[in-house]
Amino acid sequence: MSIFALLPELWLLGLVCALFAASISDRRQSVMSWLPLAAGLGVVAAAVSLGARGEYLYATYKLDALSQFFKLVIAFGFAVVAGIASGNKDDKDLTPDYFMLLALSAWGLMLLSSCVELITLYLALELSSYSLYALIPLRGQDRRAAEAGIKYILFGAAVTALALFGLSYIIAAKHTTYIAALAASSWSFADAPLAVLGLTLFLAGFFYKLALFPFHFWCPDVYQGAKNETAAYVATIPKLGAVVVLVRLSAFVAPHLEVTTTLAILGAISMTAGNLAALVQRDLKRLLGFSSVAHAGYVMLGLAAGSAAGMSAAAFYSLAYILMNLAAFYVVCAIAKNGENPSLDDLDGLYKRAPALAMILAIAAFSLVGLPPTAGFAGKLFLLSAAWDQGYHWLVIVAVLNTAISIYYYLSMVRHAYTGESEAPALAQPRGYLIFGGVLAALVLLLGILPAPLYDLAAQAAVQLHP
Amino acid sequence: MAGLDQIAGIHFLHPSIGFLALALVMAFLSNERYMTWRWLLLAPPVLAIFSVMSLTFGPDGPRELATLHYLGQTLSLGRVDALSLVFANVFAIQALIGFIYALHVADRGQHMAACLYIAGGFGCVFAGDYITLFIFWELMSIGSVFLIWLRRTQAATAAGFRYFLFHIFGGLFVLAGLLLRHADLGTFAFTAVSPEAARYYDYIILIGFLVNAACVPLHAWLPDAYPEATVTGAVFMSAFTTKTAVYVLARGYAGFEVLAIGGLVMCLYGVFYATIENNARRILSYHIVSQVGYMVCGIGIGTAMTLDGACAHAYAHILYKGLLFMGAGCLLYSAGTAKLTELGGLASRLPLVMICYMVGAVSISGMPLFNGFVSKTMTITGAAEAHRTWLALGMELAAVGTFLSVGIKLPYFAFWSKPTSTVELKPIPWNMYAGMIISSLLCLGIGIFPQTLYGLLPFPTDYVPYTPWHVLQACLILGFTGLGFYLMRKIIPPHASRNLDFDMLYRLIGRGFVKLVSVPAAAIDNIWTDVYEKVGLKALIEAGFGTSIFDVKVIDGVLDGSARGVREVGGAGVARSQTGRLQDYLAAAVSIGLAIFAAVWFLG
Amino acid sequence: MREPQLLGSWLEAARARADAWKKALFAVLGALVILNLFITPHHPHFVGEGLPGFWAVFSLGAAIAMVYVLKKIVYPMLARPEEDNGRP
Repeated sequence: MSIFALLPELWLLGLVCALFAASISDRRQSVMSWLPLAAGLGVVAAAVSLGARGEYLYATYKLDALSQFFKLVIAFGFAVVAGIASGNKDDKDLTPDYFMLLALSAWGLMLLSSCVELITLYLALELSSYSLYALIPLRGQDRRAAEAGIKYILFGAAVTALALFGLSYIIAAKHTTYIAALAASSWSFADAPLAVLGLTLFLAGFFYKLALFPFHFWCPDVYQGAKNETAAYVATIPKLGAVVVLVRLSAFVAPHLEVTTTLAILGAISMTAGNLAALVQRDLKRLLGFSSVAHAGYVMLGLAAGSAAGMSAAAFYSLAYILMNLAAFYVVCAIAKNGENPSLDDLDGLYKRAPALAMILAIAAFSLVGLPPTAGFAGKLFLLSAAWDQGYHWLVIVAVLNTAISIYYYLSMVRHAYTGESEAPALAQPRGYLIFGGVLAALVLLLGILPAPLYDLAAQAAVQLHP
Repeated sequence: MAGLDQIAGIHFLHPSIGFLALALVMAFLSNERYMTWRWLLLAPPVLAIFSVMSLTFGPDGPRELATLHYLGQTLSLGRVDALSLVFANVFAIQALIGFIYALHVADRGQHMAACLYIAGGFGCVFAGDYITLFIFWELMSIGSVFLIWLRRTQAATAAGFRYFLFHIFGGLFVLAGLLLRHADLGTFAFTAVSPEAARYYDYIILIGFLVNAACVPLHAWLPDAYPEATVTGAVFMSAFTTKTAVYVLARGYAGFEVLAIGGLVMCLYGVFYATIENNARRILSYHIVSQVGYMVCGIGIGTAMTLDGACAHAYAHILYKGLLFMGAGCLLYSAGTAKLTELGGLASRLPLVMICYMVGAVSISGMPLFNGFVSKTMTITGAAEAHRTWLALGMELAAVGTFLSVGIKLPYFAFWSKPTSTVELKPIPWNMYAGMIISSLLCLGIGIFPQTLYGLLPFPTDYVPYTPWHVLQACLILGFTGLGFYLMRKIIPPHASRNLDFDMLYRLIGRGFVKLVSVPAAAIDNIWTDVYEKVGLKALIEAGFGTSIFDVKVIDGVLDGSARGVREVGGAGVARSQTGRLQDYLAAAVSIGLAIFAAVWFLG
Repeated sequence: MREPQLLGSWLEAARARADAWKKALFAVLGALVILNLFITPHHPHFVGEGLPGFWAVFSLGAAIAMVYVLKKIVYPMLARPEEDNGRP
C-alpha cells in the first residue's frame, strides 16, 4: 500500500496548495498558463492509479474500482473546465482563488467517491459544497450572481439538513454507518420503516446535488446567474459525486422495493419536467440547466434498475454526460466574449462566424439527444437495456418519449447555429483553444464508437458492488 | 503501468503508435514553420528502434504482447518472435534513415503519408491475425499512394491511380481469402500454411500477397509507379511494401514450390528489363523485383538456411536499396532528371553522391566486405545445398545481370560516360548526404561483421561467408562481368524509350472491360430512360401530388398541433413553476417530495 | 551542401588516365584466374564448379549473351516512344 495509491487526491491537493500560494502572492500573475497542463497531469495520475486498491482510516475510506473510475472522470472534468476557463484570459474574475475553490470542490468530490461510511460521506459532501457556495456569486458585480448564490446556499443548506436528519434515523435504526454493514441488512419498508425513511431523506441530499426533481428548482436559476465557467463546472462535476454515492447506496436496494420505485418515479418526473420546461427557454444556460434536470432523470433509469448492468450504465452515462455537457458549455463560454449570458439568438450564423464552434455544438447537441454514433447514444442504450431487463418497461417508454421531446430544443440550438443569419463579425479563437474543443468533440464521437474499454471499466466497478 | 495494462492490455510500445501519433500531430502543424518542428520527424523512428531493441534483448521465443478487443474479435497486434523482429529491426532503422533523408522536404502531407505507410508496415509485421494484417495492409496502400501523388506531376497522378487500383485489387484478394478461410476454419489466426494442406482460399490470399511482393506477372505496378514517386518517397517505398510481402510469405507460405519457381522468374525478369532501361529509378525498380525474387525463391525452397537467407537478404536489401534510391534521388533532385540519356560524366561534379551510390551498387552486387555478399551468397548456397542446382545457377545468372545493370551500367552512364552532361546542378542539402552516409556505413559494417546480422535471424546458422572460395567466386563473377561490360560497351548504352511490360496488358484488359460493359449497358440504359420518363415519371408525379396533400393537411396537422400543444401547454406550464422565489422552491421541493414518497409507501 | 572539390578534381584526373585503369583491371582479372587454380570449392554443388575458370567463363559469357540478346533482339520488340501509354 504505497502513497501512490492516493496519487489523484494528493496531486489535486498539491494543486490546491499551489493555487493558494499563487492567490496570496503579490504577483498578480495568471495561473491559466500552467493550470490546464497541471490538471491534465492530474488526469494521467488518476489513470495510473486506476488499479489502486486499499482501505484507510478505519475502513471509512476505500479505494476500489468504482472510486478510481470516478476519480479519473472527476480529474478529467476538472482539467476540461480549467481548459475552458483558460480561453478567457482577460477575465478579471478568474483569479487564483477562483481556481483554488474549483480545485477544492473537485478534491472534495474525489474524496466523496472513496467514502464508504455515511458520516465521512457527509463531510466530503459538505467540503465540496462549501467551495461551490463561495464560487457561485463570483461574477464581477452582477447582482444576479449574488441571488443565484443565495438560492444555492439556502436551498442546499435546507436539503442537507434534511439529509442529516435522515442520517440520524439510519443510525438509530441500524446502529451502524458503514455502507458494507448496511448492505447486509434488509431495506424493505415492512422490515425497517425508520431506516427506509432515513435513507430516503439522506438520498434527498444527493438528489439536490444531482438536480433531480423535486430538488432541482435551484438548477436553472443558478446556471443562469453564475459565471459561464462556473456554470460549466456546476453543471457537470458535482453530479459525478452525486452519482457515485447513489451508485454505492443503491447497490443494496433490490429492484421493486419501495426505495427503488421512488427512484424510478422521481426519474420519470424529472425527465419529463426537465424536458418540457426546456422547450420554452431562450437563454442557453437556462436551457442547459433544465436539460441537466432531464439527464438526472435518465441516470435514475440505471440506478433504479439496481443490477450490476444498471450501475455500470449509470456510471458510464455520467461520464458521457459530463463530456457532452462540457462540450456544450465550451461553446457557450467561447461565444460569450464578455461573460454575458448567451441566448439562442446569439447562436445565429455561427456556422459562418466560427464553423469549428458550430460543429462542436452540433456534435454536443446530437450527443445530448442520444443520436448515434455519439457517446450519448451509447450511454442511453446501456441505460435503457438495463432498465428493461429489470422489468421497468413503463420507465423505458417514458424515457424514449422524453428523448423525442428533447430533440426539439437541442436541435433548435443546431438550427440557430446553421440556418440562422446574422450580421455579427467572425469570432476569432486562438488555435490551441479550437483544437481543445475539437478534441472534446472527437472524444464524444470516440466514446460513442468505442464505448467498450470505458464501459468495461465501469462494469468492473459495478460488479464489485453488486455481484 | 498498471492502469494502462487494464485499459488496453498493452505491455509493449508498438512502433506504429509513434508514427500514427506523429501523423495526427502534424495535422495541426504548419508548413511555414516547418524548419522548427521538422526534428519531430526523427522521434518515432528512434522510439521504434528503442522498442525493437528492447524486444530483441528480451525473453526468447514467440510471444503475444498486445491484444485489442473490437467488435467481438480479439485482434492480435503484438505477435513477437525472431521472424517479425528481424523485419521490425530493419524497418525501424530504415525509417530513421529515410526521415533523415527527407528532412529538407517542407511538405507535411508527404511526411504524414510516410508516417501512415511506416505505421502500416510495422502493424503488418506484428500482426498475429488476418484482420489486423488486412487493416495495416490497406493503411500501407493508402500511405504509399500519397507518396506518389504528392509529386504533383501529371505522370505521377496517373501512375498513382494505377498503383492504387492495383493494390486495392490485391487487397481484395487478401480479404476474400481471409473471409473464406474463416468460414472454413473458424479462425483468423495468421499461421503457416502447409503446402500439402493448402486450400483454394490459401491460394487466393497468396495471390493478394504476391501483388505486394511484385511477383511476375503481378509486378508491373512497381516499375510503373516507383519512378514517379517523390524523391524522398521512393526511398520509403523501396523498403516497406515489398518486404512486408516477403515477411508475410515467410510467415505463411514457406516451402511452396510455386514460390521457388516464381522467385527465379522474378530474379531473371527484373534483371533483363533493367538491362534495357533508361530511367535510373526504373532500373532500380526492376531490381527490386529481381532482388525480391531471391527472397521469394528462398522462401519457396523452405529450408532453414534458405529462409535465413531470405531474411538476411531482406535486411541487407532494405539498406542498400534505400541507399541506391537515395543516390538516384540525389541525381533527380540535383540534375532534375533520372534519365541516363540526359546524364553523364557527373562524377567529378558529384563525387560524394557517386561514392555513396557505388557503395550501394557493390553491396547489391555482392562484393565482399559489403552486406550484399553476406546475404546473397547465403541464399544461393542454401539453394544449392538443397540440391536445387538450376535455381542456384539461375540466381547466379541474375547476380551477373545485377552487377551489369546496377553496378556498372547505371553509374557508368550517370557518372562517367562521355559526353559530360553540362546540366546545372542544384546544391544538395546536407541531410540527404547524412542519410546516404549512414546507410553506406551500415552496409559496410554489416559486411565486415556479418554476425550482427546473423544473430537476428530466425533459425540458428553456422554459415561462414568469408571463406577463400566464396570470396574468390564473388570476385571472379564481378570481375568478369565487368570485362563483359567493357567488351559490349558499344551495344549497351540506353536509349530514351518506354519498354512494354505487363502493365500494358492490364490497361488493355481494363479498357476492353469498360467497352464490353458500356456499349450494351448504354443501349439498355437509353431505352430504359425513355420508358421511365414517359410512363413512370408521370405516374409518380401524380401520386406525389396526392400524398403531399395528405401529408400537409393530415399528418403535419396532427404533428404540429401536438407539438404546439406540448410546447405551449406543457412546456410553458411547467416552466412557469420556476417562479424565481426561493421560498417557493423550498416549499415545492418538500411538499412534492413528501407527496411522492407517501404515494409510493402507502400505495406500493 | 557543396561537394568536396578535391575529390571532384581527383576523379577528373583519374578519368583522364582511363587507359592505366584498364590495364590495372586486366591485371587483377588475370590474378583472380590464377588464384582459381589453387582455391576451389570443397564440395562442388554440381559438375563443373570445381573446374578452374568456370565462374570466370560463366560470368563473361552470361554478361555478353545477356547484353546482346536483350539489347539487339528483345529491346526492339519492346521499345515504345516515351509518352506512350498504350492508347491505340
